Amino acid sequence: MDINNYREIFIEEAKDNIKIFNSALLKFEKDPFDLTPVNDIFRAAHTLKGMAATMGYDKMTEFTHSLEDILDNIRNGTLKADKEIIGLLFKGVDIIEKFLENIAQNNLDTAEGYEILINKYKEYTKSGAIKLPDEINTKESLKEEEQELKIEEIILNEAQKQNLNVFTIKIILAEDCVFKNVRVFMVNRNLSEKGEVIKSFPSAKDLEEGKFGNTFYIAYITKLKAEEVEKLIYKIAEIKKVEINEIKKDSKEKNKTEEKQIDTLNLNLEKQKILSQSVRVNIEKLDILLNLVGELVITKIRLDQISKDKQFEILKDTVNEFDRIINELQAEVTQVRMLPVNNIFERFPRIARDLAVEEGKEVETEIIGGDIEIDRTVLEEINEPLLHLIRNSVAHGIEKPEERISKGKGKKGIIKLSAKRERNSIIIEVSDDGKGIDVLKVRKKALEMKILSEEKIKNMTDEEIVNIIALPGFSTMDKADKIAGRGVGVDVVKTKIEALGGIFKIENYPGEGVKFILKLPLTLAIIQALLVKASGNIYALPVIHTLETLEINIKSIKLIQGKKVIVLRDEVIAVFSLSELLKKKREEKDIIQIVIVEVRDKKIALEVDEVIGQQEIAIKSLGEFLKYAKGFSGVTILGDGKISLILDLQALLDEQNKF
Amino acid sequence: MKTALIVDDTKFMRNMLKSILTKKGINIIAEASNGREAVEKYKEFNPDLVTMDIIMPEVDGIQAVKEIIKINPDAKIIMCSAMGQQALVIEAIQSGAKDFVIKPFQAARVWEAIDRTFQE
Repeated sequence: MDINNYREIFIEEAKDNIKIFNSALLKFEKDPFDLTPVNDIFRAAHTLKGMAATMGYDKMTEFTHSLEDILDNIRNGTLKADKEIIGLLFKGVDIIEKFLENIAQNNLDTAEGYEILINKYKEYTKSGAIKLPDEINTKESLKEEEQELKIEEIILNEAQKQNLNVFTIKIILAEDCVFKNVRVFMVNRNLSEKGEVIKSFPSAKDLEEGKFGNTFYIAYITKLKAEEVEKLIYKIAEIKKVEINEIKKDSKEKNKTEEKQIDTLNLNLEKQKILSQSVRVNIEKLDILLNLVGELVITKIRLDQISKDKQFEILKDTVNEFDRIINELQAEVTQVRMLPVNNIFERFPRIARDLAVEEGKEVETEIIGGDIEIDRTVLEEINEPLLHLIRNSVAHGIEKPEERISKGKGKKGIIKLSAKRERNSIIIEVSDDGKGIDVLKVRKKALEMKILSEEKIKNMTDEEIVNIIALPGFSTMDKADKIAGRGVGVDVVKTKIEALGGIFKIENYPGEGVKFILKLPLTLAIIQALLVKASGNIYALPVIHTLETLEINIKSIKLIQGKKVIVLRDEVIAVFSLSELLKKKREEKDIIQIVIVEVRDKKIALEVDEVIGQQEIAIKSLGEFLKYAKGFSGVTILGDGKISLILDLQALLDEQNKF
Repeated sequence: MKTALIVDDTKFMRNMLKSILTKKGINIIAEASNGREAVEKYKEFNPDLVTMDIIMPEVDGIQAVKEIIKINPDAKIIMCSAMGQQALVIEAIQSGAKDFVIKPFQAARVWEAIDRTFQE
């Protein structure tokens, strides 16, 4: 095949891909928090790499490969694209264009400066190039292999009884086979359809990781004959040679073992099914599984209800047992989705350090509770917000070394990143020992920016003022600074955390630092909720937002500036009727039930008709048509099969503009 | 004469494969440039063989494999993968693809994969 015939079309399509690359990169530059364009950029780079490799342009392949690496890191969130990186990506397109020019004009595979750029990219990617498996000891020691594949007597006996054949198979792959582990996987797939692979050498783990030479051995039990097994394996490409050896029972040993034959021993129990110690599972499948568990939880609650209502004594034990199993199942499935927070925490010390260097500061990051586990979806979602908070601490919190010394602080600023579990929530805190938030400055700036009405701002306490920094568009920086002021602020963090059903708080210690607190649900699918009744309907309130429930006499509600409040332990708390918030008629009663909830860092007394109780609920989405309905974050099915809306109090209060 | 559907988002790669497959005596009855098109063309032409790129815009190759296998569980699909995509290739094979070849293509490898896929 004369490759040069393809040069023209190669150049043409490469140019198309450069266009895609450029326009997606421009989009990305505008909003580096939106990673969708990165997929397009990645795909373009990937296509360019593939085409260059096919044409035999090794240098261009190497270059686009390193480009692809850095893009992959951005895409999966391990690398945050800042101005510099985006600049490097733009330079990358220029280099590809240079490559194409040289290829078009002189068929020369080169571009000025491409190596320098590759090295720069490599600084950002952990592992520069594709890591080849460590040098493998390909020396095939037959003895070891025999040892490893030794089949236990019990298995041989059982196989013979069931009329099955046992084989050890030596498989040699083609020398230049690239994805060896995929070939192993295919061999396993083909064989598993007709029998069982019970052992392998090297170990399954090594095979899975491609850590072997070109030869591997497996032990296989099947009804098939040797020729049929051979044929089955040869159906796979890149298999160079297959040697099959049937294992028969040694007649001498036969006598020995026959006496101690254990009939009841099931073959399946003894078999070491080696080739699948770990399974890759699509996260979507896990979601489905979790959903199903959610349905089960609902059914469980329903069953519970029925057995209580109808007084079925016999059912009681069964229901209890069912309850225990479902709880275990739920815990297990949830567990599978859990990842330690260190997965994202680990990168932050380095990032903080680099940022500090840029700012002429010194920072050390301490991590506490890195092994606390949280749902991977939640974890993915909080990566960005945490990064932003850390940037914030470095840029606005930590002082320059000289300033710190003059204040009697250590030269190095300390950022603490901690995670802890609190019942069904995870609390993540980002704190620094910097100068804290300058309340006066925020107050002044808020007035200048007219972010809220003058009257409102003047009446705010210092703690309330601090929360202004989480309002959209607020910034105390006069000019857009390099680190934190990229058009997104603490408000984005807050919105994100709240969207996850969490709570975001700021604690300010003037002169001593700031603490950002993120309270997050453990998982997003099944949560603890308080069921309340209002205007005849049952609503679910996520427990994460509730503080306590109480019963009060209507007379203890006071009016202050036309607003209803109650005084609870010397604290004045505004009262809202849930029925009224939902634009329904409120029931007039003397004794009313109140749920104290925490919304936007404020306590609110929510008047409800009845507090039913706490229960686990499985969150279902509102679906296409209702997804814009404000005030509800989802829906759940109750024990009696009725549907209950899950309240989103923040949105509900915003909607009423009562906040 | 066996028929084939070539799926790749670049004309360049499609032409490469076309030339390799034609030399093998395979009739290219259709081409597609993304997964969605691939499924449509598969329904329309019912080819004996499909070569499927993995990373493509809109609907990717793995999704397309899943769809095609739903239509015909015996469909003979060979994945075209770049280096370093082992995990995706395994996913494609789990989804029903029969084999894979690596880019840049070596004609002999492609032919071998086709031969073994058709081997009964």
